Amino acid sequence: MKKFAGLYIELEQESRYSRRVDAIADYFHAVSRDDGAIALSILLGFKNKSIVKKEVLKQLACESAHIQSWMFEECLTHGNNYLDTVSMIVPSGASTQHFSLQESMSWLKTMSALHPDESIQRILIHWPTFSVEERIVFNQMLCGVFKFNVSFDELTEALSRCSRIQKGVVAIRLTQWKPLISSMDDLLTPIDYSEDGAMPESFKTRWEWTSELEGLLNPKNWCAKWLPDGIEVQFIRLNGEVFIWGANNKLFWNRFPELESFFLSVEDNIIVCGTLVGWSNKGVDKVILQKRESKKNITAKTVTDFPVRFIVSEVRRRFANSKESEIVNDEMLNRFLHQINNVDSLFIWNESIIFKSWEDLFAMQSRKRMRGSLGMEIFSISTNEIGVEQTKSYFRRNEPYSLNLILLYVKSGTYNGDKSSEEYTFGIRHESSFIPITRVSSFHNDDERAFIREFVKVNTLEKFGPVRNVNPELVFKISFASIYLNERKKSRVELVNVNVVCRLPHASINDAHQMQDLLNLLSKT
Amino acid sequence: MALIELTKHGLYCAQADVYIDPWKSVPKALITHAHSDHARSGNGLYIAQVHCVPLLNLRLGKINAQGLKYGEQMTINGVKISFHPAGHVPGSSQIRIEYKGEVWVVSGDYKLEDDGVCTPFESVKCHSFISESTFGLPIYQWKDQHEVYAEINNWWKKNATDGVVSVIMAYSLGKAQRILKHLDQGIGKVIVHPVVGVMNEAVRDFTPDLPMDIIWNKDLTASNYRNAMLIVPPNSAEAMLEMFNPCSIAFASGWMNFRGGKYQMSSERGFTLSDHADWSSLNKAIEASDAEQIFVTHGFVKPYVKWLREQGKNAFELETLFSSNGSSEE
Ligand SMILES: [Zn+2]
Ligand SMILES: [Zn+2]
Repeated sequence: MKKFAGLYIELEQESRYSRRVDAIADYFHAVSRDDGAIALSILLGFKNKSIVKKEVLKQLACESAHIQSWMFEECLTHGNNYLDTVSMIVPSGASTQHFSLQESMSWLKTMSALHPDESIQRILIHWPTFSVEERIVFNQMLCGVFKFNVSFDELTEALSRCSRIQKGVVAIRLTQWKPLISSMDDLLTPIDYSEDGAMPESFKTRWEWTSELEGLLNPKNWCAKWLPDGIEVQFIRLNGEVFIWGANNKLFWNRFPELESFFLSVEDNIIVCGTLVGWSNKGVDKVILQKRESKKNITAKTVTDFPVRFIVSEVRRRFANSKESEIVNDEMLNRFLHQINNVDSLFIWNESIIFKSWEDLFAMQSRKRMRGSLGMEIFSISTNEIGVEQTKSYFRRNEPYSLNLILLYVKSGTYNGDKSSEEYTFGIRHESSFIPITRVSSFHNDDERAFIREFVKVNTLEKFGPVRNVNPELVFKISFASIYLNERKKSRVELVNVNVVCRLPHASINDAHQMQDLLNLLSKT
Repeated sequence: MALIELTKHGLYCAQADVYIDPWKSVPKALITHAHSDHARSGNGLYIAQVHCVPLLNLRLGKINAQGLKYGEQMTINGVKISFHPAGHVPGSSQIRIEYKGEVWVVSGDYKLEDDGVCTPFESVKCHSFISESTFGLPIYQWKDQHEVYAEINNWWKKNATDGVVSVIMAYSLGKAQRILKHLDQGIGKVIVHPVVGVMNEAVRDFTPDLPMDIIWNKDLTASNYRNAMLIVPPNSAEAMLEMFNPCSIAFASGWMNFRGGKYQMSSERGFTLSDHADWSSLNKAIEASDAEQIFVTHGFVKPYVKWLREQGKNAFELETLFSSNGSSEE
C-alpha cells in the first residue's frame, strides 16, 4: 500500500511522460504479482463502491485529532481538497506498518458488508497505521471516488518496459484483461490468443520532397493525396473486436466509440488506414482534436462536443492468422466505400488526385491550410496494384520556420535497448560554444538513424548515463511550427512541433545558424 | 508589568533593558538564531549562543557580539538570561529569562526532531512560554525525516542515471546543512552555491562531521559533474543552473501540497522537510514547558490560540513581525 500510495502521489505531481512511465514501471517491478494485479485493476479504472460518506470521515477525523469543525474549515483554506484535508489531520501513529495493497483491498471488501458502526471502528483502527499518503488513497477508496490519473498508453508503455513484451501485444492483452479477475500471468505470459492478427501494419515512411526529385520523377507515374492534419491511425477488425492503432504502437482504447461501433459491422481482418481529424463548421479543426484528446473519459457528450472525422486513405485485408496484408481489390473497396457512405458524415474518402506537372501539384498544395492539411504526399501509380507494396511515397510540406542546427547529444533508450526511444538534442552556435535548443525523439527515416548511430560510435566526446555528447559536426535542417520565449530553458526559447527535415550532408558547422538568427526570428514572431 | 512585553521594536524585557530578536535598531539585543527575520542589522550589542555569533558575522558583517554557551547564565540588573538548544538550525536557541523566580522562555523557531546537525531541542520549564506557530495547523504532520532523505537520494540516483543534474533549493542556513549531511555521497559529487558554501564552512567549524562539498565557481567543467547534486538557495542561482543544464529542480519545505504537479517556486519535485515543529510537536513542546500562560507568535496565531483555549490553556495572541508565510526562511 505504501508503494501504491507513493506512485499515486508521484503521478499527481509529475507531468513528464517519460518520468510517469518510469514511475509506473518501477512500481510493477517492485511489487508482488498479486498486488500488481489489483493495482492494474485500479489503473484501468476499476472503482470500488462507496462505504462511507466523506462527511462521516471528516467527523471521525476531527474527533481523533481533537479539533472542532471550525478548525477543519480553517485547514481547508490552506490549499488541499476536502478528503485530503481529512487524511492530513488524522494523527499519525507512532510508527506506520506495511500492508500489501491486497490486504487493504480485502479490508474494503469486508467493510462494505459490515454495519456502519462496525466499519467506523475498523477505520479508526487502520488510520494511525497508515502514512498520510496511504490515508489519502484509502479515504478516497472508502468514499468510492478513488481514481488514478494515468492514461492507457502510459500504462501500456510501462508494462511493456518491465515485462519486455512488445508494447502492441501488451496493449491488446490489456483490452482483454478483466479487473479483479485476471492475474498478472494472464498479461505477462503468452496465452492461446494470438495477438498477431490484431497488430498494426508498420506505418508509412515518407520521404521529404527535394527539388532533385522533380527532374528524376515523371509526374505521369504519380498521383497525390492530401495529408490531413490529425492523428494517423489504423483500424483493425478482428474476432469481433476493433483495435485503433496510432504510430509507435499506441492503442486508442475506448477513445473513439462512435468509430468503433461502425467498425464492428465491417468484416473481420479488414485494416483501414487513414487520419483522425477534429471537425467543426470550418472543416478540419485541430483544436477540437486536441480538446478531445485531453479528455480523460469519453462520454456521449464528449462525442458530440468534440466530433471527429476519419479520413480514410487505404483499405487492406489481412491474410488469416498472419501479419501480412494486401490492398483490397476494387470490388471490395467499392463495397467498403458504399458502407461508409451510408454512415452519416463520420467518414471521408481521401481521393487520389491526378496532376499534370509538378507545378500543378505545388499550386494545389499551396492551399493546404484551407484543406486542414499538412501537405500532400505522392505515390507511384504503377506500384499501387493489388499485391504490390507501395515502395515509396514522397511528402511535401512547407513548415513556416526552419533552422540549421547542430547535433549535440544522443540519448539512447534506457530500457531493453529499445532503439525507437533514441532522443536527439540539437543546438545552436553562440560565439565559440553550443547551446542546446530542442530535442527530437525519433527520426522519420531509419537510414538516417543508422547513420547517426555509426557517427556516435566514433564521435562520442563524453558519456554520462545513456546520454552521449558528440562532436558538434552534423548539421540538420530542423523545422518547427512556432517559437516561444521560455525563461526556464538555457536557450530561453522553446520550439513547438519540431521535425527533422533532413541532414545537410555538405554543410559544416559554419553553415549552421547562430544565436543571433534565433533571436531575430523570435523578435519577428 | 509583565517581565516580557511587546513593543514597537519587538519583544522587550524592561528590567534588563534588552530586546529579543528586535526588528528595529536597539542598544542591546538577544538573538535566537541567525535567520534574517530574527537577526537584523543595526543593533548596538548582539548577545547570542556562541555558535550563532560567527553566523551572525557572516550575515550582518562586523557587529558587536557576545557569545554564551548553552545553559551558561548571564545576569543583567538581576535578570538571569540563558540560551537553550532550539534544534531549529545550527546555533539556534530558546532564550530563558528569569527574574525573582519568575521564568519566561522565548522559543524563537524550533523543532523537536534531532536533525543530526544542530544541537537537539531541550525542553525548558517556565511560567510563560512564547512559542512560534509557523505550522500550527493539524494538517502539518511531518513524516519520519529518514524517509524523506531516502526519497531525496532516490530522486538523485534516478537523475544521475539519466545524466540529469539534481538541484535542490534549500535555505543556506539550516536546511542546506541538514540535506548535505544526509545525502548519499556514493551517488555523486555535491556542489554548493557560494552562499551555501561559506555557511557550510562556518558551521563546519563547530560541527566537524558535516560532510565536505565543492563550492561552485564558473570555471568548473560542468560535464565532469553530470551526476552531481547541487544545493542552491531559492531563486538566486541562475548562472549556476544555466551551466548545469539539463537539470531537475526540487524544493525542500514544510509547505505540503500533494496535488497539482508543482510545489511552490518553479521546482519539479517537492520534499516535505521542515526545520519547524509540526502540529503535534508544538503541542508537545507547550505541554512539556509546564507554562501557565502561552503566547503565540510567528504563524497561525489566531487559530492556534483559539484551539489552545479550547484545550483549557491560558493562551494569547502576540502579533510580532516575524515573517510567517512560505517565503520566509524556515
Ligand atoms: Zn523565523
Ligand atoms: Zn528560523
